[in-house]
Amino acid sequence: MRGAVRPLRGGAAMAAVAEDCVGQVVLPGDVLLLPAHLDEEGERLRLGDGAAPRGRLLCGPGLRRCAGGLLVIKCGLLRQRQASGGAAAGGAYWVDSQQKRYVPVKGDHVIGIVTGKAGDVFKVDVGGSEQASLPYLAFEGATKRNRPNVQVGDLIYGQFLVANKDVEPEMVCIDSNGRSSGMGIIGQDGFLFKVSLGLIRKLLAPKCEIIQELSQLYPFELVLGMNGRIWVKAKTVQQTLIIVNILEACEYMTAEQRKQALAKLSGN
Amino acid sequence: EDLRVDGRGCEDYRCAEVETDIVSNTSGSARVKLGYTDILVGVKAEMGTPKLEKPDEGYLEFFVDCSANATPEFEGRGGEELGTDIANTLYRVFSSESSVDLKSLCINPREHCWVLYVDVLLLECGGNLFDAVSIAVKAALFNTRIPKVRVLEDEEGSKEIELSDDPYDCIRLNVDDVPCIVTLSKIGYRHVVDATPQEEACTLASLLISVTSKGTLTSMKKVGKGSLDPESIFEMMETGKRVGKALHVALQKILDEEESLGTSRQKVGFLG
Repeated sequence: MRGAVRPLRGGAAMAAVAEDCVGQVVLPGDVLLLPAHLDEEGERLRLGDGAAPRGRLLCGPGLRRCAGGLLVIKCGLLRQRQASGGAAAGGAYWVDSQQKRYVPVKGDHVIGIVTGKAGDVFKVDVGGSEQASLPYLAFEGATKRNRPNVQVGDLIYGQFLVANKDVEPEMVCIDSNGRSSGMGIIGQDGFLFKVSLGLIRKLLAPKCEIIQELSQLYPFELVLGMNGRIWVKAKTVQQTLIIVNILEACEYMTAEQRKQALAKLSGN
Repeated sequence: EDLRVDGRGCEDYRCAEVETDIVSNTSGSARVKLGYTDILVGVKAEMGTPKLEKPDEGYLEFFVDCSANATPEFEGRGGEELGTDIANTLYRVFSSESSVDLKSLCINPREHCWVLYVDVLLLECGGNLFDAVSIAVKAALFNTRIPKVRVLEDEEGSKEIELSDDPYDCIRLNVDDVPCIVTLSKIGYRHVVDATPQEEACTLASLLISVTSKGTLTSMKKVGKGSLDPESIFEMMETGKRVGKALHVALQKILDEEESLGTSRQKVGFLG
């Protein structure tokens, strides 16, 4: 990792070209220059394919637009998704940071716990600073006559419709077409526990090794909420607890330690 | 099934670490770490006058201090109520005559006796405080070394107390009959030993029983706002006796092992 650490800076934040910093540690206050701005300053000439990206550049979590380019507001590793062939997407930059406390974001799928009913809405605890509201009509096939069977203490998997810092978050269990697409009340039994947000994103990545290795061990059902909550259900209580403990430990285990632990378990 | 969240059975304790003789300016000390619960006990032996109703015995005084670092609820004076609660429970547990031989603490009847001041400090609260405190108190009493004194009579009749010169010449307490508290928490229809903070949050009622190494119950206390029916109390008592006897055997083995290492033992203390 030594090569990834940048040399000490002076008082003012140094500006660096965004593309060079991909995969390196960035700290809050760093300014990342985009190629378009470089051309304007006339300091560098870019040849051929290195031209300024066409289309919209997506500024992901941990970054904000500023006069010089992108301003980093969270510490972590800078990641980039290359511009795809089509004209619309212009690539994306974001910062991969680690934290345990969840802040509701629009469009995130989360697991919530129903804490109460207030008139036409359910109050759901999602781990943020405020409880989210979930209207009872926001379930597939729910009408005024046909209310969903939701009790206090039930687990709900839904997505945020409205989530900003000024208003209490609202969540729904249907997508924009009116279909549930996997959301709704999570069934009986199973085990809910909390992990850090970084681990959730790692597990949600396509072709995640951890989940593939675990699925070879026992069959199980898994629901991952972006708010750090995971729900697991396997055939017996013992299998469920084993999977829970492995997922919790995955945070700090290296790949070899994980493979050793799983080999020991499948040998038993 | 007999499974809890961390894979333990209903009657299993968490992994406990016990270390004695860590505070140098006390007569005896011990530190117990049970999961995330961390307790430090120091015993100081001082001279005092015996109580009026028991002129030929010494006595024990307990004081429990809940450090503000232990858990956020202990900020400011929040831990005082819990501290007095634990201290009163300890008084009750040690109130029976057979637990500690108080007559050996007497120097001159009606005039001088040894008073053992037992100070308990809660460093971190990780569930199951009473058990950890009682284990630490027993370990600290095992480790206590009280200097031997001789009483010299003057010609005029006034008595002088002479401390022996040899620092290793001391009397040790016999802790074979010192009881340990076992907390049984009722969750649903079953009861568990050594509850974690999450399990304590689900408990409506628990039973604290103090058991000696021979399996005799010396005191019992019920805490919590839920109710316990008599049959489950009987079952919990049987479990408590079984678990208590095993706990005493394991604790004594560890204390003897530690003792046998003598002065060559590497102390871990607070830096390990």
